[in-house]
Amino acid sequence: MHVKLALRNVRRSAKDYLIYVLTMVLTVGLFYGFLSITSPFYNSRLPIQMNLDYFSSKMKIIIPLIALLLIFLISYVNSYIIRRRKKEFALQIIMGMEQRTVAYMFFIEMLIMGLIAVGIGIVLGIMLSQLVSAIIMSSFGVTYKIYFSAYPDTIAWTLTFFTVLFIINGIKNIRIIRKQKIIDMLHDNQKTESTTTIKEMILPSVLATSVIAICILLLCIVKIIPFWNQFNQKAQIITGASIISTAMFLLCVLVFLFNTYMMKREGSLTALLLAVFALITGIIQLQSQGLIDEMLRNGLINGAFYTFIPPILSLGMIIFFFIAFFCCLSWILVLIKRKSKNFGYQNLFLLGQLNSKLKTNSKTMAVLTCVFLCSLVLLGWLPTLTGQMDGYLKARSIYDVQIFSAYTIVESIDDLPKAGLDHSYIDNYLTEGGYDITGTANVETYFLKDSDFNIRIEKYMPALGVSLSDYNSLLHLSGHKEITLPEGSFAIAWSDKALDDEIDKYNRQHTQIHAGEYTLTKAERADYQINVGMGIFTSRMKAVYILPDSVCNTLTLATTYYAANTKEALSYDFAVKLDNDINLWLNNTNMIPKDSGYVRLKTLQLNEGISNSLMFQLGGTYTSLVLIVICLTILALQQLTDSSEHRQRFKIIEKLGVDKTQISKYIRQQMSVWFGIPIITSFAGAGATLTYLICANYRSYIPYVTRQEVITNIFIVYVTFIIVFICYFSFTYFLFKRNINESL
Amino acid sequence: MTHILKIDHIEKYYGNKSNVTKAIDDISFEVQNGEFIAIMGASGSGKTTLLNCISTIDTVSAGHIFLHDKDVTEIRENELARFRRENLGFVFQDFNLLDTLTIRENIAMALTINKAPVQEIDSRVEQMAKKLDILPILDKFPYQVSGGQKQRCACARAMINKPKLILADEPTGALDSRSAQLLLTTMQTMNQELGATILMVTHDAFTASYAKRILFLKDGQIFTEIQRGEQSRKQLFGKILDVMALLGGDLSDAR
Repeated sequence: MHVKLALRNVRRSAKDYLIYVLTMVLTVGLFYGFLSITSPFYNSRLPIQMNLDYFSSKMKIIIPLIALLLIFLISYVNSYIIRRRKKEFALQIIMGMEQRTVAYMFFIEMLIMGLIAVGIGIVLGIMLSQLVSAIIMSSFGVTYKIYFSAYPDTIAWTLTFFTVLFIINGIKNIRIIRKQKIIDMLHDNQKTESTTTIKEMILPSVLATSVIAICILLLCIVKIIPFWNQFNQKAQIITGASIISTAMFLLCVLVFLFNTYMMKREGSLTALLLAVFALITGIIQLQSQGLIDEMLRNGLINGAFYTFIPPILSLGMIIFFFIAFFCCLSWILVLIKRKSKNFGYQNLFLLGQLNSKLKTNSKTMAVLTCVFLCSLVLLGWLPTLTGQMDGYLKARSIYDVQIFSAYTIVESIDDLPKAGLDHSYIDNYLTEGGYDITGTANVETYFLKDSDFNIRIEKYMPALGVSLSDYNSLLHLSGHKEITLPEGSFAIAWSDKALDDEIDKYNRQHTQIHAGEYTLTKAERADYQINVGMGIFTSRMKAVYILPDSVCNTLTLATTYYAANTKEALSYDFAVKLDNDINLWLNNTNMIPKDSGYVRLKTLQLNEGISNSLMFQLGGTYTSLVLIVICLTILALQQLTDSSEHRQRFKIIEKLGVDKTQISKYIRQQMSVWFGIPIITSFAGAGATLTYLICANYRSYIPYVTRQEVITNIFIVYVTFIIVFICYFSFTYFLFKRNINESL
Repeated sequence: MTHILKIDHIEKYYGNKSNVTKAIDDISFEVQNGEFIAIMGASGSGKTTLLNCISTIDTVSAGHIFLHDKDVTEIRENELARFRRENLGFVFQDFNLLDTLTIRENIAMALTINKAPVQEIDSRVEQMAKKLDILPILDKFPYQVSGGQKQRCACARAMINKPKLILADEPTGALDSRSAQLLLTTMQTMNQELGATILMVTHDAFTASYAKRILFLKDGQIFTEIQRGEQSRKQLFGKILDVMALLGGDLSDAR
């Protein structure tokens, strides 16, 4: 009986739940689509040199983790629905139904609704998984074939996951409904919105942000100031500005506390100042990340984790900026109203509507803005990041087998290898495994002078030398034309990370070098930026000198590098075994110092590299899509909650003689503000962040991705987002008007 | 005195062919300029339907309503809102103030809807507030003031545009007796000093006793009519009770 009643309720309120169901369908679809690729059923369909185990194992954690965010959404939606239906619940209880039964019926209703959404979502997910699969296939360079992706394990997973989510929320709802007093349920609608002061709204955030500000000051004083004299002017300005703005922020906090507690004032102006200083501090803090990087490179501070400190601190400051900003908006509106009578009176109703909501919702808006901003930045920057990763992968996985040694972990110069690698073991291994070797190269790099060995600070790392014949053998192996070198001169091989301006600068400083007892001059136009693998660039320098063979014979050997190509690509399983065996063998032959050898097999590199880039690409896309959908739903629902709560207001102005077109205009204006402000703020913020990323990371992405591509990617993301946004906006507008008209 | 409102044989039916309910059954009367008229009747007598028809919220089934010689029943749908805001002022039982706006803004809202010049708004609002004695609470929000004050604010809002006719639907319905008395005095002032024409619907004899003329409705028809004339309010009150007894109304309705 109760189930029947619940079913009828579902049918009746289907339109109210439209947005909720739509969101659930979308998120379930995303969940299923992305999860399906981690299914063993999917893996069994892949070509032999592909293995997604690593990728799958990571995605299996990321996807449900992100989906857990849905708890917030579901509970938000449920509380919205409970609020809408409270009166109905109260009536049922008054008529004699037990409170427990009412709660139970609501639970069943939501569960049915949820399961319908999950059902449709899975169908959507099956379609979506085709798209995801197409991306994966194209990453591995395999042609894509359409396939049927209804995997039982994925379906079971999706069902279980969401059912558990629903049940957890359901239990929460039952508790909420059972605890309510009937009288409150009946009269809840009549409650006016509480008027909180700015102090109440932002005090916790102010205190939390003060802690962040103190951290920034500590970081500056303890870690940066002691090296003040070693900085260039730019670094000094950044540090100075950072300290001043943080101090100003803290000063404002004190003024704010004094104003609100001692003087009992509203403190809006100080709050606005707080927001401004938080933003400035956040931006400067981002800038100082470069400084920290530079200090790490110069060996002034130790610990790679320092790189993450400025962005985290900065993020905290920026989040606070948004919170304070939205809290202050209310005050700005009041100010506008007071200052401009004309504007104020012409928009009385709109301003009233906005003001009443700002008081309660500024925090939600701030959080939404931050999430939008992060998602936009993530979505916009991901293609560039993965492009960079893929480009680098292509550059380093040029040969089927590569083995190289590094000298930076060797402690004494006497421990360095004395001769090139004896590779007969590997050659035999490959031949026995059924792989024909089509070519090999055995290359050594040398120190120009022995003292170079002791330089370990990253910034001053020496450039090594390679003999002409070795370099030519690499060129030959990678299918390039060989080069020649005039007598008594040297050339430079550049890694593909080196940019033109760096090459020019370096060449101006190094026209002549001393290699052992020889003095060599730079040959004309002898800069070779050809991809011959990363094996010769082990000392983290982007340049290696190409020296005559006779010179190299007198120098100290630094590293050895062996590369080989096979006729066919190694299968994944063979590659794993080979990798293990070579590593064992390397550590047992004493040809190179212990633990200084590295094995790179193309099959493994591709698998790992592509898996990583896929993980970023798919995981990032999934995360930001889910977040955007959640945010848009909350935005839409916020409007809809209002439309039913404030139906009365529209009814009043209709009675006062405001016509229908004007009412529609009010609705549009009000919604534009509520949808518009977070969107515009986050668009602007994301635009600024992306511009910063484009400029700051120029050197790391430009070898692989052109600026044009970067901008196109960002543009596509923006346009797609705007389209999705417009869909949600019009949908909400439609539902809002429907809600209003119900009573008119 | 000229008539401002003329109700001409109006009828209003509800329901379908097989089952018709007559809410208003051939009512005609006139309201003179500057009158304060109360319409009384038990629930279901058709008084709210009558008010809704006059206020153009509802349409009549037959007959005509003239406001200043303009036939209200002939106004096209898209002009109704305009007609309402230019000619009518409303006072509702549950105040219907916008809770997002201050009292001042609530009153000003009526002016801005009528596109009054902005520079006049403040002075006009304050002038009106002074007359209705709500000047000190102008910058408070509706939930910060008492019911009586709210209703006086609603009166100010209804008066501010100098409408031809003020329609009041059970204005004292949600007020305690003291506030009700204060409000009714205010309405009397509005009528006598500001020259407002007021049509009030009520089922409360005490409230009705403040009017100059009282119409009694029963089953959709005018049952009888009392003029105050030179009588005191108390005498009128007694008369009303008599009529109510005659109507079979419950005396407990009277305070």
